[in-house]
Amino acid sequence: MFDDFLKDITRLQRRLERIEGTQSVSFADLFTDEFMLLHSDFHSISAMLDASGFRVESAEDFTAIPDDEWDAFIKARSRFESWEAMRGAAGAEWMSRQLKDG
Amino acid sequence: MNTYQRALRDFQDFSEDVTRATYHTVDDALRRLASTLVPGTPLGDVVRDLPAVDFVQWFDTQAATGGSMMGSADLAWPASHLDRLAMQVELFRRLGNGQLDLLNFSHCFLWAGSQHDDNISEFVQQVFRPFARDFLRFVHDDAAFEQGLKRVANLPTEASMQELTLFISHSAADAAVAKALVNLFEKALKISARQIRCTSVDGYRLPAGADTNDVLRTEVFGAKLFIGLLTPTSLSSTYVLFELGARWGARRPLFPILAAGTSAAHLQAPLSGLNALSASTADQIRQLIEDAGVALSMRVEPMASFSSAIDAVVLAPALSTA
Repeated sequence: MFDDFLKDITRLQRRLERIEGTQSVSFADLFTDEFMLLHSDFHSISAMLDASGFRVESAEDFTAIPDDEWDAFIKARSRFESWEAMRGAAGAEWMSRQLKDG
Repeated sequence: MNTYQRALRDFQDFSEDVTRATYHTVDDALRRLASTLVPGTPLGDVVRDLPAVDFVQWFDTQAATGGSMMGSADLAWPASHLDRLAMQVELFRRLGNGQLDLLNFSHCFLWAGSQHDDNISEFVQQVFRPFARDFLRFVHDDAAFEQGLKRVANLPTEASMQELTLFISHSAADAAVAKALVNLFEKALKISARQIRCTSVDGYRLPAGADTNDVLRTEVFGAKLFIGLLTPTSLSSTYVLFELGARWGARRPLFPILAAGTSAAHLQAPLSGLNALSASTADQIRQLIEDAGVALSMRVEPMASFSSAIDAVVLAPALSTA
């Protein structure tokens, strides 16, 4: 029993190390279709970007969007009050998936 | 937020409630979820496009595969994607209205141990989450629903709806009492005219050009406080009954007020379960104001400043028929 526990802890430790070593997570990995379906008016992150009215073809395009306008869009078309809140929830789910999937 | 966005948000919110539910809360969460699928609602209309399925026969067949061991029955959904979805919608409807019991279902098909919460968690992972994902995909594939999501909410704007403090549901025939109530709330709680909706009273009607049904649906849910003016006329009004039912279903503050000879004995379930106050008794109108102040977290003005407005409410039915 104790050996099993140690194995579980070691496995979890490895996963955490792998997560800590991750430099960045793609939009597609972070905002899965299931996440978007359950938390927004859209079936995918690309559908949301398309509907936003902003032209987003690169990371630079995305960062150029005025924060207040993007927050207003997120608030109107998702379950979140702001982009920060949406990103945080997606991040929490992503982290949970990493720890579960191993 | 328009009615389609609201329906989707309700489904998403209640889905999250289901995924987080425990043995003590799961029935309520499922009931609320099922309420989003009833005919006549945006999602209920989407469900209508699913094929007809014989749930009872399917369920009996599945249950019959089980032996004496807990959870030994096979849960084989129909092979067709749409038939499977239709069957699952029917399952959640039945779980929501109590025709099926979730624990019995889990014990039969998904036994995860003697802890109730473990069985509920297993159900959520194995059945509910895949269903919610597939159902929402189906919803987004529905052209009419997708079009509805894109529709800009009708007037009033989202901001003004959020500001709506008081909605007085009434029949036009009772406009005199409704007007007296509006006047009373303005004086006693200093609620501005912009924050009150009372469709038969000038200054509190719907904005010109607004889609009446759409706006009313939204405001019935969104107003912080909802007063149902119950009279013989309003209790026979389809609109008033719809508004009362919607508000009751939303589980938001709802104060029934009896007027024009209506008594608590005239009310049927679910309204009979609410404490209704009488508009013909000054003391009860005072209580209404105090209760409303608590519900709205607003301070009540000195009684002397609105006692004449209370008298006006009490006398309004007599004055309007005089």
